[in-house]
Order: sequence, then C-alpha cells, then structure tokens
Amino acid sequence: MSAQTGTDALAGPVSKRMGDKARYRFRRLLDDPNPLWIRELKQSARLVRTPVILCVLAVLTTLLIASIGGLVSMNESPATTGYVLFQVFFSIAYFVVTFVGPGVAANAIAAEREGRTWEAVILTGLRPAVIARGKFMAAYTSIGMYVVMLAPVGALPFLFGGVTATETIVAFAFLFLIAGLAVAFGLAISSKMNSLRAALVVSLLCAVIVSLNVYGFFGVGLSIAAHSLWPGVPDGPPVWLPTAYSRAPFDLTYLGLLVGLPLSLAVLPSWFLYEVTVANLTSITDDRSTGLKRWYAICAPIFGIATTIPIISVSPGDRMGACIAALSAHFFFLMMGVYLFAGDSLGPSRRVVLHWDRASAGRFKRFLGPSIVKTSALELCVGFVALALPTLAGLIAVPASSTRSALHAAEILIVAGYVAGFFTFSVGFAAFLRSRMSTTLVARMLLLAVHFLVAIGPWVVAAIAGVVSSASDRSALVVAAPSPFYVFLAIDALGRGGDDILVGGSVFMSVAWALLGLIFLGSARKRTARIIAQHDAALAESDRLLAAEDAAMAQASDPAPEGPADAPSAEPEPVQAS
Amino acid sequence: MSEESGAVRVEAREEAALPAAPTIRVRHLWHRYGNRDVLRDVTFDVGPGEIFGFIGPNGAGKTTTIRVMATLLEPMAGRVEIDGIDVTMDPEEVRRIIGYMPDHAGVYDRITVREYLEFFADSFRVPSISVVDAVLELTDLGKLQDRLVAEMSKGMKQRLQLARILLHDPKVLILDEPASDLDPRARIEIRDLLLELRGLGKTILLSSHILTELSDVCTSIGILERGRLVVAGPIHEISSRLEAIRAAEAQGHVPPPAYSGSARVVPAPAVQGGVQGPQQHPQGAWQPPVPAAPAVRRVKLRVLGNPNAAAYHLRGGPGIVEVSVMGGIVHVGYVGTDTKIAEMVQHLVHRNIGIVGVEPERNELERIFLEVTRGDVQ
Repeated sequence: MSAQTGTDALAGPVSKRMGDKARYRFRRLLDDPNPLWIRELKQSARLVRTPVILCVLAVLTTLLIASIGGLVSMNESPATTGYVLFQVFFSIAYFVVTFVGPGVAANAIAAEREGRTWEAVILTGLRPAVIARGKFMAAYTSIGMYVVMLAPVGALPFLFGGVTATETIVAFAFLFLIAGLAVAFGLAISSKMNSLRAALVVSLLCAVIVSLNVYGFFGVGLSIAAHSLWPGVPDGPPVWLPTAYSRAPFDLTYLGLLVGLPLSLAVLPSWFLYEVTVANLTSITDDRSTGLKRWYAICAPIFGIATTIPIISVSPGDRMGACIAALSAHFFFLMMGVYLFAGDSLGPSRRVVLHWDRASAGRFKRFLGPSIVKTSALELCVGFVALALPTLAGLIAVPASSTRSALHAAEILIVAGYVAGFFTFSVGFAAFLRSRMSTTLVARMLLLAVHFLVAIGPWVVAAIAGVVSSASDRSALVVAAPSPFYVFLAIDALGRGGDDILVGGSVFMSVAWALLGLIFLGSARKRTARIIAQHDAALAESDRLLAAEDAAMAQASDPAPEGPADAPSAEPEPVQAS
Repeated sequence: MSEESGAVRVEAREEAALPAAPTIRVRHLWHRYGNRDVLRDVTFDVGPGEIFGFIGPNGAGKTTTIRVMATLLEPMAGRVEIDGIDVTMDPEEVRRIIGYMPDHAGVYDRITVREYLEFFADSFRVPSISVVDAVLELTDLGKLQDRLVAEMSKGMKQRLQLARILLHDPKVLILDEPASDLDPRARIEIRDLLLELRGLGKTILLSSHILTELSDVCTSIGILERGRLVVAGPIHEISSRLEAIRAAEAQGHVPPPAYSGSARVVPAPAVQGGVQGPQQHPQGAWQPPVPAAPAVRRVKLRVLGNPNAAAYHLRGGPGIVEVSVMGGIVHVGYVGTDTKIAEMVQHLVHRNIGIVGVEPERNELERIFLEVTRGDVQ
C-alpha cells in the first residue's frame, strides 16, 4: 500500500520465475514506489526556481547552438556544420550533467542531516539501500529533466546532416548514463557529509576535476586511438563514441571495445558508488563490508579482463606498452582497494553475528562480512587472480609478436612481481595499522604517509647522494629500489643490459615487500584475535553480571511462602548476593 | 478436570500477582565522548503505561540516554531494553515499537501536512491509508492537512512531529524536550495530548526543563546530574523518602550510609508501576529499603489581615508539619487528606481570620529537583 500514490498493496510475484519476478518488480515500481522518491518529487514540484532555471538553460543553449551553426555554415557544408554542432551540443550537455548532477545529489543526504530530518527517516526502518535508491532516483529525475529540456536543441544538428539519427540517440543514451554516474558520485560524497555546504563544495570540486579529466582522456585522447583502430571514426572530436557504433566494423574487437568496455566502465563505478553510499549510511556496528567486498571480488577479475582486451586488440608493436599500462592501471586499482578496505572493522559485531545466525548464513557469507583479516585475505586472493590476467595475456601476446620475446617476458614478470610484492606489503601494513588504531582515518593517513615516503623518499636519498645525475655509476641507483617507480628503471636496465644489480634490486625488493607484508598481516591477525577475545570476554562478563542481578531481583520480589511464621523452611535460604 | 481448572486458576493468580515487566529497562549505562564520561552507570526502569519525566540540567546526559534508547547511539557499556528487546542487538525491531521525537527536529517545508504524514506512513509501511486520517484527527491537525508545513507555527510543527511518531502505533514514545520553545497554549495542548496518549496505553518517556509541567503529567521521574542518575521513581515516593530523611536528620538520627554526606537520594533501580524493588546503590551493593514516611503535602493560604497571626494559630496543630510566611502568603506543610485543608480554614475563620484563597503547592517536583541536585553542570 502506498499512501502517497493511493494504490493498494501488491500481491507477491505469481511464481518464482524470473519473468514473474521482473513483472512484479516493475508493477511495484509503478504502484508502490520508493517513498523518498515520491516525497522529493512533490517537494521539487513546488520549487519555483527549477522551471525558470530549466527554461533559461534551454534558451541559452539554443542561442549558442544557433550562433555557432550560423558562423560555421558560412564556410562549411551542412554536413560539417551538423557534425560540429553535434560535438558542441553534447560537450555542453556533458558538462551540464557532470556539474549539475553531483551538485543536485550532494543536496540529497547532507541536506537531510543538516535540516535534522535524517533521524526521522532512518527511524522509520527504511534500509540504507532503499534510502540510497530513493535519493538516487530523486536526483536522477531532476538531472533527467535537464537532459529532456535540452533534447530539442540536441536534435538540431541531426537536421543538418553529418550525424545519423542513431548516433544522436546513442549520444543521448550516453548522456543519461553519464548523468546516472554523476548523480551516484554526488550521492556517495553526500552520504559521508553532515554539512550541506561541505558536500556541495567537495562534490563540485571533485566533479570539475574528474569530468575535465574524463573529457580529455576518454574524449579527445581515446578518439585518436579509436581513429587508428577504426579509420571511419574521426580523430580529435571528443564525442566520438556514439559515432563509432555506426562507423566501426562489427567484429570481436567491436564487441570488446564498444560494448564490453563501456559497459564495465559504467556498471562497475556505478555499483561501487552505490555500495559506498549504502556503507556510509549503515551504522558502524552493522555490516558495512559485505557489499563492498562483493563488489571487489567481482570487479577485480572483470577489471583484469577489461585490461587484457587492449593488450590483445592493439597492434603487435604496441602490445608491450599496453601490457605495462595495464599492469600500472591494475596497481592503482589494487591500491584503491587497499585504502578502501583499510577502514574495515576488526571483526563482526554481536549484532551482525546475531543476524547471520538468524539467517543461517553460510561460511562464504560470513567470510564476506566485517573482519580486517578476512578482508585482507580476500584482497590478496582476488588481487592476485586479477593481476594474473593481464600478466598472462602479456606473456602470451607480447612475445608472440616480438623478436625479443624473452626480454619482454622478463620485463612483464619484473613489473608484475613488483606490483604483487608491493600490493602484499600494502595489504599487510594496512591491516597492521587498522588493528592498532582506534580510528580508520588515522590508519589511512599513516598508510598514505608511509606510501608517500616509500615512493618519494628513496629518490630523494638518491638525489642527495648525487647518484641520479651520475651517468658513470647507474648501479648506485639501486638505493631507490624500495620505490614502486623504481620498476621502470629496472625494465629500462633490463633492456639496456649490463645493469644486473638494478634488475636484481627490483627482484629483491619485490620479495622483501611481500615478506614484510606477510609479517605485518600475521601480526595484525594475532592482535585482532586478542582484541576480539578480550571484547567477547568483557561482554560475557557483563552478561553474567546482568543475569545475576536479574536473578537477585527476581528472588527479592518473590512473595514469601505462605504458612506459619515460625515454621522452619524446608530448605536453607539462599544467601543474598551482594 | 477440577484439578486442571484449579491449576489454571493458580497460574492465573500467580500471573496477576507478578508485577508487569518494565517497558523500558536501562541498566548500568555508560557512555563517553572523548575523555568525558557523559553517562555513568545510569539504571532505571519505566513500567508499562507510565509517563516518565527525565530531568536534568543542560549537559547532564539526558539526550545521550534518549538517543541510546532510540537506537541512534550505541553505548560504551550497559544495556537498554525496550519491551524486552535489546536496542543494541536488534535496533530494527526496536524502531518498530518506538516513536522518537528529537528536540528541535526539522520538517520538510515544501509539502503539506497530509503529504508529510503520507510519506512517513509509506516509510513505516503502515498497512492502511486510513491511519493518516486517524492520526490527523487524534492530533487535531485535520483542519491544517492541506497547509504547507513551512506555513505552520512552531507549536503546530511539534504537533506534526507527534503525529509522525504515532503513525506506526508504537508502544513507547520517547520525546526529547517536546515543549521547548513553545508558547503557553501550545504547551498546554501538548500536555493534554500526552495525557490522551497515555490513556491509549502508550508508555511515554519525556525529557524537559519545565518541571511544573512534568509534575502535571508524569507518573514517575528520573533526575540526572553529571551523567549520574541521582533519583528515580514515582514523585510521591521520592517526596516521602526525602521527607523521611529530613525528619531523621532533624531528630539527630544519622541517615542511612547511602545518604551520608549530602541530602542526596540513591537511585531507585526499579519503577514498575509503583512496585519498588530492593534499593540498590549505583555500584550494585544492596541497600535495605527505606521506611516509607507519610507524605507531606503543601498548601498556600491567602488571608485577610496579618498572615503572621494566621501562622501562629496554625503552628503545632494536629497534622501540621511546618508553617512559614513568605510574601504575605502562609505556606503550610501538613500530613493528611484534603479534609485537613478544610479543618485549617475552619480553624482560622473561627479565629476571625478571613481566607481569600487556598492554593495547593504543586511544584513538588521543583523542590525534589533542588534538593537532590547540586546545580553542577559538566
């Protein structure tokens, strides 16, 4: 039953079949929608400034497009004019949704917290996931209205020619997809913030930085790579992806690069942002880990597969570079995981254990629950599997296309080895810090400080010692081996030959980092087990005392047995516990 | 057959004899912000159907206790049970049976009163739309149902908050300063509404600074100071105990160990519909029960002529405990029923002292508060 929409309660799905379940969910969306979504729509409908802003934006965009169209059409053909307008319009629309989307979403949860309505919402019993979905849909509807208002202007370039209707529709589909990502991004930030202003400032700052970088790298940058792969796709214009669908030949590469990669690039970050939002909305003693760990366990191998696609797809000469780039990207992904999980709990709370027991949760579900040691184990297992994918792809694809196959294989192994070693150290050290710090922020800050020192410190030492500028004694650069950047020096030395000490330093540090990581992890495991045992003992003692107090109270409030006052009792009276 | 029915009767009698289990149980609650203990071993019970007033100066720990009860904060130690459910272990279940109204809570401004309640009805998964109408009627908001929340007065917004927490028909209402910042009329309306809700069987815990209002509605109270519960129990029982202590001290008797050194009253651990459990020291040591002294009631008499003469005639009379004159008004403490007031009036009239007003002193709670607290803030 929905009081807001006035519809009756829906009966459950007719059967357990997927189709019936999907039908039921769709009907529920229509007849029993998310209460937060409906309430926010009602509030938005009463906001006078929204239609004014929308109208102003639509008029300004129309004027801009018309002006640019007029200027370009004086010298260019209608087809070129249409293509230029297509690029201009979707670039403007991209920045509108990537700036406004996070701004609108940042308002969602932080405003409730600041307005002191948040507690009322969470006390209704709505689950954090339902709240996150309601807030997302409300913000997405708002940003969707911006896109819809701009749609007629976006159709103008199609009238000039130069772009097809399919390309325009695909571009709008991508616009909606990016809008969804932008909203999810803003919501994830908002879920952590208590102040509306802080949420707005942080969201907008991050949005500007991320959207400009994405525009530059995925737009202009990748258009050149796309042109080299599919000459029909022009190089340079940032909005190349919608045109690639109709201009690239349909084959395995098409499926991998134009379907698989964009899908994973949209779905995986969206899922991540959703899980972050839900985790931030969940109480710290509840299970905040399972969702994020599930995401990581699935995402890491997918990320591994996604990074292997370019290694196989690019021309044989570029495969080595693609492989090193893939391993570097993996390194950043794994490090992001380390920082993400550095805030995990030492172990599950009693409440979480109670819920598991009630749900008869299996070992796997419990493994995915809160526990820094289990999380570290998962990180290492999944991380190594994911890392193995581009490494194997590189080992297979690169030597097959190269005359220096053994050398390239050694280079790939050196990089992969260093990534694996440093990753193991980071996971172990993060677990070690978490087991010793009371707050996650301190653990993360210390980890960041150590990473910074390790990455930069050895090079500073090398610079002070004067070995960086010394061309005669390159082997002295081995002092920089603890820095992850050193691996590039090692593969360079391997290519040149004769600098075995530099290569040996890299191998040594890979092993050393891995061993250090394992030692830290072992220490964290011991300390965590001791803390959990002490905590359990304290809780058991507290329970025992409360139970004893209950028993004493019950005994004291028991009515005296009836009978003659001087009659001896059948049993000796129990002594009153003090 | 007769044995069986006899057994059933015995069981029924035993059940009837047992005191009802407390609806709210707060036991040895501790909480700390940074290095500061804001709650120290707070223990009290609230019986079913009671209105429990939670009193204390600013920073005493009232809101922290209330937030723990409302599942919004987890205590460092101790246990809180609402209707037998541990708030830390099963907050979802507790949220179904409590209605919590924080102090200075916000509302959504750009929706109407009805839309506001419909949103919360949906969020609470209330099974029937008619519940919104029922709550609108109960809280007397029916006439304002189409008005925007932004256009409502503070008092009406408080009433709307109360309506919100009634939507899912909770057993327990937890209200943090429900009458703060309200004008006198709105306060009276809220007070009447609380009494009406008590009539519906709700157990209510409310914190307030306005002691006279609490004394009008509360069946029992708890006074918190510097994170410690200094006293808890029904108002008349606390008053009696204080009188007993005062009387004992006046006669040169050493008060019980728990009271020595100050005029403080130890916390009463159990307040279960007036059934008092054994006295317990905060640290858990068992204390013998304090013998109940007859409650001293107070009345203010306005007289024509010399009030000191009236005081002179009343002093030493049967059942008269103390007489004083303050601001031209005769304050009389007595033991007994209302008949005693009639006797006093008759006695003075016979001595040609005109009585123009008789007013019972109702701020018993204020006296208790001043007596058991030191005015310390943290």
